[in-house]
Amino acid sequence: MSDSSKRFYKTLMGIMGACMGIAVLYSLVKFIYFNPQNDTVLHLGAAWEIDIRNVVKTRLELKKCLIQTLQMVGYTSAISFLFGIFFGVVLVTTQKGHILECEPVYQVLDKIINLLRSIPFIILVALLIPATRKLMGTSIGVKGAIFPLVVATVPFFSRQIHAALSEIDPGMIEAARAMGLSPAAIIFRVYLWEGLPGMIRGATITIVNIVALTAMAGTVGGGGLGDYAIRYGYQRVMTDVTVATVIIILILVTIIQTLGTFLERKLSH
Amino acid sequence: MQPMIKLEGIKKTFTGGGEDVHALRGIDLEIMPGEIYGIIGFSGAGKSTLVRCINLLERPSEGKVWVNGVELTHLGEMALRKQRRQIGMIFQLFNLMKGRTVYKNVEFPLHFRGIPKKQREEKVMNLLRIVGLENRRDAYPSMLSGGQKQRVAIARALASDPKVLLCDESTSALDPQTTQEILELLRSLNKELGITIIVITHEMAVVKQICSSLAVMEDGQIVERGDIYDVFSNPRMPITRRFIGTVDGMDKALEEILSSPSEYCSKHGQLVRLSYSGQSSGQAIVSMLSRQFGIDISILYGNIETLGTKPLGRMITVLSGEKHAVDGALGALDGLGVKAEVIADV
Repeated sequence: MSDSSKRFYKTLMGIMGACMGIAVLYSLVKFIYFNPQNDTVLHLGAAWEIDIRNVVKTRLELKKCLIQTLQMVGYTSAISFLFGIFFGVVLVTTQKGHILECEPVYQVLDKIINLLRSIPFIILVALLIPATRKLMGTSIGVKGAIFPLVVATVPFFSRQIHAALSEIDPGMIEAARAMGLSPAAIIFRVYLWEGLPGMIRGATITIVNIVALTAMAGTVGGGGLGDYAIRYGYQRVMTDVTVATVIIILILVTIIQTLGTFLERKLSH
Repeated sequence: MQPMIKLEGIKKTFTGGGEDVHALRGIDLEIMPGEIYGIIGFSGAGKSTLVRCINLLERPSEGKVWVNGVELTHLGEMALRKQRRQIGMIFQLFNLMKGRTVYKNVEFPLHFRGIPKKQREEKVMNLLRIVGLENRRDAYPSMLSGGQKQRVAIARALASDPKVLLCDESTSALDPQTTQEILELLRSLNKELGITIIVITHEMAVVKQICSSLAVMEDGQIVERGDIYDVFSNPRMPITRRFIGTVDGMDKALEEILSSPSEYCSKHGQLVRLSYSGQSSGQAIVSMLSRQFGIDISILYGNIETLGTKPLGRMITVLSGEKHAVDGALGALDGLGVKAEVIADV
């Protein structure tokens, strides 16, 4: 792409981003500072007024669901990252021509990941109910949602890690081998350190993905924002609830993405 | 004296992909301590595989490798890793750790070896001084030029005090000026630290500049080897001639002359290639022959260079005159220590 067209797209993106930011901020300010007793109408300009009476009415429920979502995202990310990094490293190192080359392990793991990734999440949740009950003691609530979320996220994140670590210049691995580093040292000091920017990119995508999955987990009794939006926004036709949910999730995703991009940029040289 | 590196019957066959590739077909090689040994070949000759067999980054399918008296081929993984620390290696594309600063790159091999931090810092700074980069210690590799990157790589390779330094096409990605600088650095390291250096390259100019001995590889075999002066003054294999031709322009000149002799030679005679070395290059051979035998000698192309300390000259000449006089002159050349090779009648 030429320099001038690059600049054009950058400007365009900047303007679009700024517009979105202003819109979100505006509604946020309105949402926080209006007085619920006499004003339940959110003014988004003269032509567009939304009645947010229902959001106000259910705000305690909203708060509870937001916390549930954050809990689900937090726990799921933490557990999935451990497993995902482990499996991602196993995938990369056992691949043909890599330091711990072992075709059977690679093939089996690769196929299992493909299998798990091809099951739609909503079906996976149902499929896992007996196992969830045995493992967590319940299949509902945040506790019951975490197990299927982890099962769905680990393969996804393992692939992200696999992709990130595959990008590492094989020359660096060769140099490390020539220096007499053990495979374990190569994994920790070269793969995991030099691959950090790529891994953070993968983690960002994964967390955003988990946020989307938690919304689905809600529909099977997991609680969280998805549950809130379905119960109030959809089943009771409170459109403002749905819109509020979307805005909150949008903010959540924006924060995650910005943080991820910032970290990635900070760490790549 | 015990050789620093000894290879015995090294064979390497890559299987898979349907067809077996014989990268190395039986290599025997001995490299003495303190040598700068050049291994030259076109791409695909197997030279990179060969150098990787020295530190066993590639395990040879057959044969034995000794480095500094230790046979590496029968060592276990742990012991082998320990031995690798005394074999430094630098690469064509530098292979620096991109996420680490210059300082951290050089310090990299010293970590987890039980060396106190203070001592490590001293050592790293000393190495950076040697390669002339102490003021770039906090730069990342992406901020450095190719030559600087290779200097960092050299400092890193030296960090574990290796006895041997393997250079795999280490100047092929650099411009001529930077190549000179890196070669000078290698030469001074060899002189000051006594480190044995193996240089893998496809450029004869590199070999000519720093190596004391060389081996020419073709199709997985060493086809010619020896002291650099001997090989240059008396190449036996066509491929060696081709490599030498790339640095002195001899073959190209000859080709051109043969394609249109009339343009180059005003007189009929015999096209002769003269190679002279040692003391004979100091003598006034041409005028002497001309006087003594009454023949005309025209010089079409000439080249004198110094290899190490000894001068080496080559010339393309046309000897014209009486048949017996020319024959007599050719005979006299032999006695003077000049190799004369009749190429054609022109």
